[in-house]
Amino acid sequence: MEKVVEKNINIEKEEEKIISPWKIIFKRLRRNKLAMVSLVILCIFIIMSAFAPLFTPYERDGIDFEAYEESPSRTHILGTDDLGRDIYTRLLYGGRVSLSVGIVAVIIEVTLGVILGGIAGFYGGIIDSIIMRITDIFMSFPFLIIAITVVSVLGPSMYNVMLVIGFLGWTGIARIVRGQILSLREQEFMEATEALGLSDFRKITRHLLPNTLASIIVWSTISIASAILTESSLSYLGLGVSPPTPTWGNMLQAAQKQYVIENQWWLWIPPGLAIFITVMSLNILGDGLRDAVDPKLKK
Amino acid sequence: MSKKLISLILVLALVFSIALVGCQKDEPAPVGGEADDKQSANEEKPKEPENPALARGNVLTFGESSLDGLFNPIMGSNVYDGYINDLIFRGLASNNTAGDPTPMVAKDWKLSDDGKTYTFYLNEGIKFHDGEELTAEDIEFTYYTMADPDYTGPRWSAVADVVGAQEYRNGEVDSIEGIKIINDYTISFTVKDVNAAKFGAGDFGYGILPKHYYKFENFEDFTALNQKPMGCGPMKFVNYVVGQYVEMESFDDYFDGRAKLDGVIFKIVPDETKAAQIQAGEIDVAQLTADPKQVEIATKSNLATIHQQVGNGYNYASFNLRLDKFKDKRVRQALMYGLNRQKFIEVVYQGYARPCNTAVSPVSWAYTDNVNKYDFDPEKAKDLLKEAGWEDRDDDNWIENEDGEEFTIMWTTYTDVEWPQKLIAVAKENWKDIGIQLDCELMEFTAVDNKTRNERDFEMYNMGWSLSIDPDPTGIFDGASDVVGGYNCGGFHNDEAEQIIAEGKLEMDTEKRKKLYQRWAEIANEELPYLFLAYRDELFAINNRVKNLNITPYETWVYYINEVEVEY
Amino acid sequence: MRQFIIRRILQSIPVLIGISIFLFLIVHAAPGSPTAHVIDPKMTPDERARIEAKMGLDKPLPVQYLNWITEILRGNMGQSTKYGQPVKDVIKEHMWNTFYLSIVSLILSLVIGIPIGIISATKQYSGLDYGFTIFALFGLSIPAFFFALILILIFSVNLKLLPISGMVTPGNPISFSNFKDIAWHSVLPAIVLGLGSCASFMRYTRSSMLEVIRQDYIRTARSKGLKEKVVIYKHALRNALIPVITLLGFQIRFLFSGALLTETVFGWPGMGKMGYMGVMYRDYSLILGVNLFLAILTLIGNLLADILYGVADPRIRYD
Repeated sequence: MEKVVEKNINIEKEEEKIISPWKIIFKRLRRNKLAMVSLVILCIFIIMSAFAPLFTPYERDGIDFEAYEESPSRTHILGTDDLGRDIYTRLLYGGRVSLSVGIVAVIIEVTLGVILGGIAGFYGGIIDSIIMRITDIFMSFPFLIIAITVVSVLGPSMYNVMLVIGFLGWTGIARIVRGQILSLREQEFMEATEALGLSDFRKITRHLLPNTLASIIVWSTISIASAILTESSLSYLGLGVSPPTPTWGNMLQAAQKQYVIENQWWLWIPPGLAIFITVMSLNILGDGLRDAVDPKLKK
Repeated sequence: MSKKLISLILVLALVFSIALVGCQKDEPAPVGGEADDKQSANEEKPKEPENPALARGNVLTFGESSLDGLFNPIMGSNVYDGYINDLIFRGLASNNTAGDPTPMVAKDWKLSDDGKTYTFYLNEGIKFHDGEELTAEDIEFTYYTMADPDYTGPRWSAVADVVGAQEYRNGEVDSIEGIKIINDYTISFTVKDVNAAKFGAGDFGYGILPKHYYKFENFEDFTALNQKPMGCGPMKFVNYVVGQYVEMESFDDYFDGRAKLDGVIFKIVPDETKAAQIQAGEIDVAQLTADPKQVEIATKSNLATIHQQVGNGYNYASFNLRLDKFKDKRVRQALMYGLNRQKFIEVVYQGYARPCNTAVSPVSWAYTDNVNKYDFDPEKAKDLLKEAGWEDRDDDNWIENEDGEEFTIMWTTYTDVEWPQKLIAVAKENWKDIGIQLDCELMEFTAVDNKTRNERDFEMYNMGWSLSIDPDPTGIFDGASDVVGGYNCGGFHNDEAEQIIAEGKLEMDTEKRKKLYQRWAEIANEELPYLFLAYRDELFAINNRVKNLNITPYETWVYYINEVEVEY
Repeated sequence: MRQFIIRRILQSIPVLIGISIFLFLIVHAAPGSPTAHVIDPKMTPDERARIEAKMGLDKPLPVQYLNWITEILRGNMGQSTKYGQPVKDVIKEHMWNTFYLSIVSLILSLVIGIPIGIISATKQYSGLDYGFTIFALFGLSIPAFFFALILILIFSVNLKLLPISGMVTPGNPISFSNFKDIAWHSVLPAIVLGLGSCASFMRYTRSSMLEVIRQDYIRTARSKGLKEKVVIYKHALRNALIPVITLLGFQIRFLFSGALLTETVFGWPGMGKMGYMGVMYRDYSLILGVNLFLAILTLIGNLLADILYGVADPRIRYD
């Protein structure tokens, strides 16, 4: 049965294959200059964080009591903190945690949310009810006390932060995807897929999800920002990454003081800017991607 | 075109708002002649700063971080609730700057020859805020409540040693044998064992509750009055707006005379902006953290001055002495020598703390300077570790014991305060130089408390102690407290210390006690149950309109409320 | 539709039971106990155990759960150990403070976020669009705590225009008669709280508007010669707002749950800070009470979102 179905749609697939859809997407994306700039910036950030030791002469946690709270100079291009640690160096290493927490947590959220939301929206009925009630339960979870318990049981680490954020944060995207699919499955083109006798899996992955991609991309890019920030508020609450490991979030959090804000800009502008630029680039890239995947948009 | 302009303006607005905050810095920096001119120009017209606090009238506003709202001297345990309770209520006895007991509700007292019966003679004519007179019955009621079978407050220890209190609490008897009303103005307490630390521990300091007001059938009726307190203190409770402020007014018939102020307001202010509110004159008094930056902000507008004093407490990091690696005291000493506490204190506290080497504060009469200072000496640390069997056997710069195990330490810490994280950053670097690998786990405070005190599953953790007036270390360093849930979390046992602790309680002669506890301080310094870190200063920022606000380590400012005056 | 609502309410019962069991377990699994905040060497382990037994914490967990849930069904949420008051009163004291602040900021963010989202979408890739986008992303990427502190420094400390913290001037009550004072105190917190949600409303509206504008029926409408305004506001907007409505449903919980960091830095006596203190003090009854209350709000909010869906998009059938 399955195989027959496959053959039926091979005709339309053949046509697509001439230029693969991914190539089209990339081609379109390349035309979008801003998106490309964002992509390059993100790549630079990722590379510099991943290979941090190559880009700095200082050690991540190396303290220097002779040079604390120094403003930027030739030796410390972004100055030093109150223990004489080099801000630029910590910014590089901090990116490792912040970027990976943001990205991994959101991957977990999106994977869970899209699968569950997609199934719920497509099948409706009892399955929808059960999945959405589970979503309700998850939405009612008290984030703080769960984080405290998880950390006390598993110990504080970057991975647990990712897990906590990821496993508690998928409900929003699940509801969005489910809502859109509920609406999409009633549209005419789905009758066509019905007539073609496509499998449910294909219907969901090929015809429904691509139509929700715009929402997913917007949601994901916003969520990466919020995951990076959640990590920082978690370390404010004592549940994040343990010191002296730097993250952009905890560097910014350590600078949340009137004196520092007024007198030591090099302690808060660099990590703040790093977060801002990352979020900005991700969102512009997200916009570009959305336009590129949108089949209705022809330039 | 115009749209581009708008977007440009938006971006500029962002940049500008950042610059507006950042540019503050440039003003005081005296770079070049121009800046110098500006400064001298400022100096020429030393105008008296306008003090917005004056508009608040004859009321003192104290800024504090949080309130539980347990306005009952035997229910609350938070320092800030304590201030309010100390203003509304007064106890039998208080203490002076030296820590010696002084009369309060009781005008005098007598200790029997066997040292077990305390007889208190009350001031006559003391009135509660509703006009009723205070008698021995109210004292009896207050202390009976602490022994009540249904009592859930934290003060049982104040009556636990009174004869018959345990039986009363168990419901075996209807009255406490050891608490006797002799007449309306005389009451006596008989304890089971002589305890020289009883006054110093504050057992007779708890505010007296009026029986006619607080009397209860079941305990819920008692707790229902938590936010409607009434006592005999200098301030009358007016109003509590949750999370915002407590308003109090002076009590006209206070037995020691009416306060010069018309009232006191406790304003709850976030820690983040406490110093800013002092700077702006929005509050009159606040305690600051021992941080030079806070001081700079609080005094920037010249509206306030700083009161600085050494506190009666210290910061420490406890070892888990049950672990083999910490059993040898040479290892503990090596860790002490190998950590540059002096430099850390110099850089981070900048004059608002000093190194601590033992378990007694310089404030205490039991303090001795005759202790090892453990000045930073990595070479000595290495030698000590070598003696204890730890040296680098495989040339990897980390030290190992005979079995080839590397020396690693996991330090458990919490976030509520900032210094531990900085200290750990320093310790990690310092100890790396003597071959020890330090890692840190950051948790929430109660989780750390649970891990250390209940589970006792840790290697090192840091905290701080605020000590009571009496130097008796029972509860922290005695063997009996090395139980699950006890505060001897590290498991410290030392025979000589144990003996001193026992003797100290029985010895009534202060000079002899002083010798005993000084010896205890030396033992603590030698044996190092803790990695002693720092004595922090206590800092209070006080608006210049406030006069006669005295603060000493043993007496909080509320003791002197009657003398406090404000300009308005 | 009525049937749908009734069915949903019936479904809520097992969901609530599930939530209550989970809450109860997680609260008791958290390290520490309600007496943990009394840091006092004079407090012996035995005394702690006695006080906890008074609270019924010595009984097996299932028994404790049943005791708790029966009391809840009787309308008794228990006594808060931190605040020394019945949990019901503690929640009552804080929830309207939070509600006031949230509703102000929500209205603010809707009124600003949706229109600029629409403008951005209709003028995609224009300077205006980029300007708004930068503004929105700024709002999303700046930590609330930090933003709050900067606003306080500029407007309260340096310019002395607004109060630094609190909800009222000490001495004034929290009541309608004191509205002006409260409004004055809520300017900065409302801005901080509104910024984040304003930004996300803007982003969602923009993206979903872009999506809709490209649909066939919009093209049809345009080709029929309808005015651009009619096309956008009558035909496109309604469909574009569906995802935004989902967000709105979530906001019901947010209206009462409060924002911990914003409340902390502004000293606002709301549910966020109160719930946080409850967790820090391991105030079991309080944590359970607050979270059960919020769970019920979440369920209501989700139900409302689903109903609104149906209204906004009649094609959706619930079966």
